[in-house]
Amino acid sequence: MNMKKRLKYGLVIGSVLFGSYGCVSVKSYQKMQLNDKNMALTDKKIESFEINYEAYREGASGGNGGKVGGGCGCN
Amino acid sequence: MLFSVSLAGQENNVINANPDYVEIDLLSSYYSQDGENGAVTGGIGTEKLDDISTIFVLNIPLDSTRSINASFGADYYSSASTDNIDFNPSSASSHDIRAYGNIGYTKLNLQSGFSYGGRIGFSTEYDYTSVSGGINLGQVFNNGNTEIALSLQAFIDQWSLYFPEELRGKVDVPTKNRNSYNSQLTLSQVISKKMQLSLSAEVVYMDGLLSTPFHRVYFADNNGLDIERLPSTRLKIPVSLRLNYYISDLIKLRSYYRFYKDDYGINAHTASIELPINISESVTLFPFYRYHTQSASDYFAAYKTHLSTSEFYSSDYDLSELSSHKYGLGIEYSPLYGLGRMNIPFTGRVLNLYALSLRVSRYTRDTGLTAFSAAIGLNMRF
Repeated sequence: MNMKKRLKYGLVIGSVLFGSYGCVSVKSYQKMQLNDKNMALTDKKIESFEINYEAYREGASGGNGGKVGGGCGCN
Repeated sequence: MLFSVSLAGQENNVINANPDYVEIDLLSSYYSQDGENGAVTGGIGTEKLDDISTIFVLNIPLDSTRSINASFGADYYSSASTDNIDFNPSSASSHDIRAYGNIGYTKLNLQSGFSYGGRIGFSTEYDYTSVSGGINLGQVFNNGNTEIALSLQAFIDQWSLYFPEELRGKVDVPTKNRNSYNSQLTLSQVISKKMQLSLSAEVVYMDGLLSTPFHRVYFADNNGLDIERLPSTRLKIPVSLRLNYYISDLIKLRSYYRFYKDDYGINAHTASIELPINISESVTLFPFYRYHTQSASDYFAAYKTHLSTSEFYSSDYDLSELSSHKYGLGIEYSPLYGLGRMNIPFTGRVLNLYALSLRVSRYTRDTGLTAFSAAIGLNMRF
């Protein structure tokens, strides 16, 4: 199976799984655990340096908060 | 970011109001790498580099719905690789300072869950300057369980051209400008009381001088050399999934996967996992691991393997086929009542030293490059 087909099937399966879960409604008072700071769907601030270095050292940068402009990172 | 949802007393709001304190993060990092595939010397030679960085990050709430966020930082690096632009050891190109800053504004509508904001930024180093701007839009709905966010950014960059010493006056490039345009759409979803995820799709378009003017390329066919040459446009498409699971009060799972494709011929997969472990009420450990693999760019070849008749060529191993591993440990100390307090002169306010973080990591790449980094962060509030 080529990459295009695999990606297509992956998106379809992901959408079905996501859709089946997507309609749950967790109440505000049930979100104590989701509001834990380690559950945030973001990188931690202290990780920003490593993300920057990785954007320099790997040609596949971008899409991860990595720098794609602003500082050439050419050293 | 998926906004945390209101607790008692704010039940009519879809999203939380801004906190009533100013938050400051002071972060510093040391990074050191070494390898033997320096792009400045055509894919052979040292890649040794040391970098020290410091950044301040501020979040200043103006009221319950409006806030200003800003960051200012500087990097100092010494590089044995860029020192080889000239043949004179320890020349001006052996070290540099990059200074950068961003300032942004965000406005929330607590009832509708809509938010918008904008930011501007700059970055400057000896041979490179950049100005940037962007806007962010977000909408929370489904009782705060779903958020869609759109981010649009533009970077307008300019090179000061420095060619390798032996090629000065013999080579030129069509432009010294580089522009990058990013658009990112993120869907965040609460799955259960213990699980949430985000899906993100990004399109990055770049144009201008996308090669580095002081990277050398040595040819196989005529014993000659040239500077790196790359196409003047590049389209990057990364798609990522982040999934966090609250396993127990003791341990959580933070996971991340990204697929990447661009029209330079690079396909890449990146996966990472982090397990925050609460070893006491105030101390959390963060062991983590990251794996990355990518195919080579169509324009990459090693030292003395390119043909001079090609239109584009590079011997920069950042564009080569590679796999990398990163592993390390973080620790955060955040006592319930903070690390300490101090009065801020003339304001009558008290600065609370809230949390201290440390993080070390080791990075290895199968091209032979290895790196070590250590970072420290202090979170303060008043």
